[in-house]
Amino acid sequence: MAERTDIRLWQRLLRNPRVVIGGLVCLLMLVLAVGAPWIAPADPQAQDLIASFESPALFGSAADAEPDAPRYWLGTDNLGRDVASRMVYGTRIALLVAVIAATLTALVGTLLGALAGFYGGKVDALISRLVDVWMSFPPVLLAIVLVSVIGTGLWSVIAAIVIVDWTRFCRVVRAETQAQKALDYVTSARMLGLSPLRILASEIFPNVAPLLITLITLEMGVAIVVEAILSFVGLSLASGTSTWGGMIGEGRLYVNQAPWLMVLPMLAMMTAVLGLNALGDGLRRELDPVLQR
Amino acid sequence: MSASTDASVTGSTAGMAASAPLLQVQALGLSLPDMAKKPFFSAAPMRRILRDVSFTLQAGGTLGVIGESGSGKSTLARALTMLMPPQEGTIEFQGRAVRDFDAAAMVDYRTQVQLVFQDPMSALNPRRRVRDIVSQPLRALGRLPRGDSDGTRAAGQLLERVGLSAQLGERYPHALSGGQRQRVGIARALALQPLALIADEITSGLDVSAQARIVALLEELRRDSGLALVFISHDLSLVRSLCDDVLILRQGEVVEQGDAAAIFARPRHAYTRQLLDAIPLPEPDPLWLEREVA
Amino acid sequence: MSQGLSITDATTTAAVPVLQIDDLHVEIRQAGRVTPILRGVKLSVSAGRIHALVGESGGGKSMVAKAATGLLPESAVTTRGRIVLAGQDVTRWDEPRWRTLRGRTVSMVLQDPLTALNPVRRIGAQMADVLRLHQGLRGAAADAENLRLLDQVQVRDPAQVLRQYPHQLSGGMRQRVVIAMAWACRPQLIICDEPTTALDVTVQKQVLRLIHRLAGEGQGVLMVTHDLGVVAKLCHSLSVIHGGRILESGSVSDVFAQPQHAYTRALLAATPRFDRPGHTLVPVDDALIAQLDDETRAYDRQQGVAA
Repeated sequence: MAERTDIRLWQRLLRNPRVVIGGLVCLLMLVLAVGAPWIAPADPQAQDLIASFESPALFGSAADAEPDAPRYWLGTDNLGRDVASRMVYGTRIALLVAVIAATLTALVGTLLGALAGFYGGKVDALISRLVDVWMSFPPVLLAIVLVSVIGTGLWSVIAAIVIVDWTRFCRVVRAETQAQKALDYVTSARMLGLSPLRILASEIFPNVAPLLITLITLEMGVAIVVEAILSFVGLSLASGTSTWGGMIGEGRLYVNQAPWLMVLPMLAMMTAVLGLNALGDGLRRELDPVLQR
Repeated sequence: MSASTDASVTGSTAGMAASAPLLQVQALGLSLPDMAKKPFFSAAPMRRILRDVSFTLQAGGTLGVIGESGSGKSTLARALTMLMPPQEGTIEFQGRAVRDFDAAAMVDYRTQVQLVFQDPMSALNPRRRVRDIVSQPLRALGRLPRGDSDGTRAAGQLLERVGLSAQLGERYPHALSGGQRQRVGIARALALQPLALIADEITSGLDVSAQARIVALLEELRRDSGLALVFISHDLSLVRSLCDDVLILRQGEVVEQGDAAAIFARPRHAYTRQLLDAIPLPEPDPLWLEREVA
Repeated sequence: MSQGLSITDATTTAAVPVLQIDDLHVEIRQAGRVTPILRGVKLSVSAGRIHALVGESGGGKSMVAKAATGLLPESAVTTRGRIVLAGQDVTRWDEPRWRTLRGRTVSMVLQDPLTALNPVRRIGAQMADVLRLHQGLRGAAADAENLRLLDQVQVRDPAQVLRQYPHQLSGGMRQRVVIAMAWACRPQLIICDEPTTALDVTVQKQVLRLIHRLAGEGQGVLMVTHDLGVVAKLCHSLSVIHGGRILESGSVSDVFAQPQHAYTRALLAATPRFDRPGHTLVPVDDALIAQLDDETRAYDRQQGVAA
């Protein structure tokens, strides 16, 4: 019986266009990120000043190219670096940041939100005031200040995102936990003498989980964008590493002569965020038993 | 508007008359803070929800609690199980004061006197399968039978006890009808073999056949297991068919109580007469609508 | 016994049917599946008469109510039959045309007044909407009409109620407001879908009395309910529906005295009788339901519906 439901679940998932499209995008990102060393046509850091500002071979006509010149499918930037390779390596950073930052943010925010929502009283008052104060800082500014203080690097970026965004999860999870707690089935569980932690985990959590799926994928999209912003202002990883945000920042300077330098990484970001959101939405629709009517 | 207490509360099964009654409630009173009238910086004033409610429930007895909205009947159900501890009065369970129970004794009390909530959806966890819902009390108290580690078999037996097929255990609550969900709630309440059920408006919102099924089930449980019942409802006809004793609540106070047959045959209080008159019997009577009772 | 009210439609009032449904077949077509929900429904409601549509949940009575107001879901298709509302054949009308009728010619009173009213707007504002939309009344004229309407539904302090929000009113009061709004434009047909189920029994009697009075003013009322007691005391005639089919119909006095169909008898047997304390409530027999379901399937096959 359980086996049949598993197979049915996969069938349903594959029939949902959101899951398929979003899943493909995420799969593509994963493949690019993991297989970067083998997929990228060239070394992303290799500079070839003679070949700078080559327009993307993808959009150019084949006849123009010299027969034995190296093909730059997405062109080169101001330092002659292969844009395609940089984009592939940029996927790595984007995915790493998205997954780790979103997971940590969700953990911290959900934990505090669930405690605040379930216990209420002083616990809730403390956590809620903390959230209120925290959220009064402009988020992007906070991230920038943080990274300026603790220094740049991948983990600094992740820390900045978590520190700024945990409040988003906390608020939403708190509200949902409160709503669920008021329902009779929670009262029944409490009357059985179940401990609060057990009630939170086994009774309330399944009802908060659908919300979390959506929030986490949204957060992953946010993380990608925040990393890009930090790269843009030069506060992300070391300037050599390829990040989408960094490429946009540099490409901005040459937007008239080499628009592809800015447009391509932007398209990549948009696709990534849209794909993540679609996947999250589709998963929620398929996995949530209540929505299966 | 004095309460007319009928001293001779019956309902005991033979041979039990000598031992302590299952539930003895004396002068129960409960107030709650009235948040609507709360001034900005001080505590909210207390609003009285229940006043001076007393009754006795013998083992195997049936008490119908009748009240309209605002009568406090749901609060009474929660007060009895100490979900909302009453400020005044006493509740005694088998001769022991419930107020003095420690945590373990309280859990034990609540397994012996089970509260069944009114559906809609909030009474059953919408994201758990029916069999998990029904077997939850067994798992929570570690009373699963041997060889039945996830409680599926026990759940199946409980579902069949209430007239549902064991296969329904695989479904989620929203896939069941209102009557079926209500019976799942009863099945869950029966898991720990309680001595009494407190049914809070469990037939409201069900259509006529589903109601009849629930009533038949409750009668059967009473006959077969000697289950005592506190049946809270606004439907006097159902109370009449099910309960030996009745308690009529109005705005938190007892209007009349005692033997159901006696009260319904000769209601002493005007409010009771009003209630009785408002019941639409399935008998065509064009003059009923315009008739007013003093 | 039928004293007082004469029930048979034939000779009494100018028995103009306000609603006439003939042989109505409706299917739900969704995700490649076809599910018939109404199977040859026939009923009529005359002006000044209260007709009950009785059945259990899932029997189709709410669908009939929706069909009569053009609120069937997108996936519903009328395959056969006719609905004639106030003399107009509305069977395949589209939404814009239905909007001209709703509120003015047909209106609905739903079960839960709390969700029928907008919780964040005052009563007066909501009632004024109806008047503005259908009668073009505004300002002082609308206020005056509101007061009059509330008075008609026996609200004791109408001026106060108009200023209040729905949550400040009791259930019975809210239902009266909803009835007032439904009645505002004197529609020819008022459909009540379980209007008193959520109300206390004493309040129920008052609301039923109100509905009876309104019907006396010439409106036709379709009362959708599962409570046979309400049907017996309030309605002139009834139709019993199960599985989208009308199993029995007739005047209330006739049907209650001599129910013809086994299902009608079963529903009566399941209804609690306060006056008969020894009477055991008999739930509708599973075998009967199975038999009815068989008949429904046979009907579908005969109609050539791929189930």
